[in-house]
Amino acid sequence: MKKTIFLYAVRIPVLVLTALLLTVLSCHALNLAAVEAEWTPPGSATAISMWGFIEDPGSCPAAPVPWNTGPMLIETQGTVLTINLRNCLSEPVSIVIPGQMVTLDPQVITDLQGRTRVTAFTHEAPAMGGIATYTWNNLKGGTYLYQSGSHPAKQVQMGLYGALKVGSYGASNDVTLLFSEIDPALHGSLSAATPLNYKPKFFLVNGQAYAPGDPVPAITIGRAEKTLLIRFLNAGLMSHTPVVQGPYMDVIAEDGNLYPYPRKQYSVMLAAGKTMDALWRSSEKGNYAIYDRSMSLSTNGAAGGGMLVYLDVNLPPFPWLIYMPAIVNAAKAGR
Amino acid sequence: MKNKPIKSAFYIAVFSVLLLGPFVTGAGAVIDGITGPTFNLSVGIGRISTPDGGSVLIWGYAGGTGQVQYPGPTLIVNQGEVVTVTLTNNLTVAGTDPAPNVSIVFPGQQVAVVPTDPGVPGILTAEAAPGATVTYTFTATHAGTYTYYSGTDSALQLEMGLVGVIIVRPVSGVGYAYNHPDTQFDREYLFLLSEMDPRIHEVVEFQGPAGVAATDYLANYFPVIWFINGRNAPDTMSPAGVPWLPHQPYNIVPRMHPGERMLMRVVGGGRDLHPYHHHGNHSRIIARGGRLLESAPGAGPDLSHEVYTLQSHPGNTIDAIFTWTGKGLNWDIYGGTDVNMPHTCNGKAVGETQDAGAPEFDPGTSEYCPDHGKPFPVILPADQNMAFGGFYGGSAYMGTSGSLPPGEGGLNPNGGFAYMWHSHTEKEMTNYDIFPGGMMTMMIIEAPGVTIP
Repeated sequence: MKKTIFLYAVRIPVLVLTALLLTVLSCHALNLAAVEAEWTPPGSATAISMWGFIEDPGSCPAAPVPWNTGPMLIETQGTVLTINLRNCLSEPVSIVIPGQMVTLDPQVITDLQGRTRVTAFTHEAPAMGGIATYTWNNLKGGTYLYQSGSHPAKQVQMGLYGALKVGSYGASNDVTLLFSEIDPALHGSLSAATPLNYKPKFFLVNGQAYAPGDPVPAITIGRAEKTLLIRFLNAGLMSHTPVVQGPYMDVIAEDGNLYPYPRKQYSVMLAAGKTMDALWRSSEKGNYAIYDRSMSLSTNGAAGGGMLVYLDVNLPPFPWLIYMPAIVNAAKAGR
Repeated sequence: MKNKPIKSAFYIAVFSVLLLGPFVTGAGAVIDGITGPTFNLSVGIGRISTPDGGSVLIWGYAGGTGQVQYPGPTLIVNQGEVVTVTLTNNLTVAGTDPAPNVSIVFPGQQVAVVPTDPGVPGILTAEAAPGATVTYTFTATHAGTYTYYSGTDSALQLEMGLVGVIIVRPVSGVGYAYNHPDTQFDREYLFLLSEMDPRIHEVVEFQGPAGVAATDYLANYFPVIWFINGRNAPDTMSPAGVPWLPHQPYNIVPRMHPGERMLMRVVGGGRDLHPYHHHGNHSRIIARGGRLLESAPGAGPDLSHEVYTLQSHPGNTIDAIFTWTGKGLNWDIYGGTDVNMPHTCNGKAVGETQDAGAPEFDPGTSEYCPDHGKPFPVILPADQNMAFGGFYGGSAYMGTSGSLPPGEGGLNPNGGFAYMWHSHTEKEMTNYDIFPGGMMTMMIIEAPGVTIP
């Protein structure tokens, strides 16, 4: 099965990636497109219609593309981020990044009773090929979701979301775990797409739902005894509680805001729309499971699948390597 | 039924205080469980009873030769011990499929599988095949409250009942939650919060676990019964170990005296969030997930904070200290000038003035002395104009009972102050939509002389 893996290592760029479906973009002016897409659940022959953000191919695709979460955006604190969005969908789309300061331009309509109703949090790329540009000055450090700001109750659960990471709190190795869900009942007919009856059947980490019987998706981490920054993001509409087997985490930030003191936890309460950052270090090589203790551990009703990945610490610690012990202090001092 | 005023409890209280002086702080250990560090657990089927007369199939852990139970046995060990847990799979299921493997994960512990009893590999941990065993071991390096549950098809097996609690007692000894004086307590109680969707249990009962995959119940989850320590109210308040609840041995009736410190060990045993709301006072959260809320190792719970609803997360634990005095009530909890209940506060009788600079609280009874002698500030209607609850003893004063119509009262024989403790998701205070029930119990502040086990 395909593995969605995204690794980002400054000091060890030679980490082997067994597959890389998520495009990593690190320039400051990015071109994205919102497109029709498809996602085929594990063990199924029937694709589910999705909407997704992809790297802009320069024109609208003629057919739905394979769906994944949006490209990982990697930025540095204090810089300017510009996104040019091409909208290939049948309705207007926009991009917002909760937690990043920007002046928004809410879009409104006047309804049949003469009332002004907000339809989008900010300016939009018109449907069927329109383009809009979004700029964030002075990016704040931390981990963030970017997602559609237009009719978000519909468009976000259709798949229009991705992760933005700004800085790394001084950690040299990080992993991003983007949790989300799919309720196929809302994807068959877009007119039915209301979250009122939202009951997702597929539970994804980084755009991938583990299915019982398949190999557990493994994210290669590298050396043991090396501090790993784990970024948790929840683009779904439900709460999840990722548990990390093995050593405790030092949870250091929530929604991009540093805690005054790290919190020792083996799990995090990841409410809808939330991001949490934690530092973690294993002393031995091995597979360390991360799974949802809120029990989104099923795939279309079958127990044993869903939100489960391994952190594959695939190398023993360097016997000769001396580590910086106070990574948290470094983080507190200014990322 | 009581229809005469009785005053016994409080007089005992006064004499106890006079004779014994300040109370000895010995921790009341009323958390039932089995002590380690070596445990032999098994998994099998059982049935739990719900207060509406229902009966639900469970898969449960059993300790030693004991019954399958929900929740599993509370494992009580001492910090530093090497804990060994051998699990035997005695599960049987309906249908033609074999029984599934079972297992245990211990979040927060560094677990190894004993090489001589490795079981079979699983996704989260080693598993016991049907009829076979697996043995886990870990060192209880840290004091605190922890949980254990099945690591095999957890969404189904946890729902079926495979969950329990681990308590690691600190090296500081009896009466400490962690190794810091600020974690001392006088009494402790366990609150394992969970829920069930009986549709899943019915499918498993009649079709076996494979039948669940043909439904969407694990995703379209809809619990209708809610538990504390494996029981639904009002069964939560029946004694522990009663024969009519053979697979639900644990109860929960928190009781304490004014001024004491109660350690609440709150465990998210199910898959849902449960906001556990305790009336009477705030509690102070000192630890989560078995780790003190401290700014640095050894600092003690300096990052602790007060809440009145403990937000319990699935699979996580909270340790909180609850205290209660009559401060803020604006009446003398032991009897105002309107009744003849002779007692002292800082040595002053009812009606006497406190000395300047006297302590706020009486050292023996924890009475709030600025309210000493203040009568209950409400004139109660006549009995025929009142509706009574079973926990009302007929008096607003602690340790006192008053006149009640025939058939009223009776659930609070010592005349304590009773507070409902319950899920703040109010629909979880029901059994199949019938209120009251579910995730609820009554906490009772008993007069100082009342014996609490």
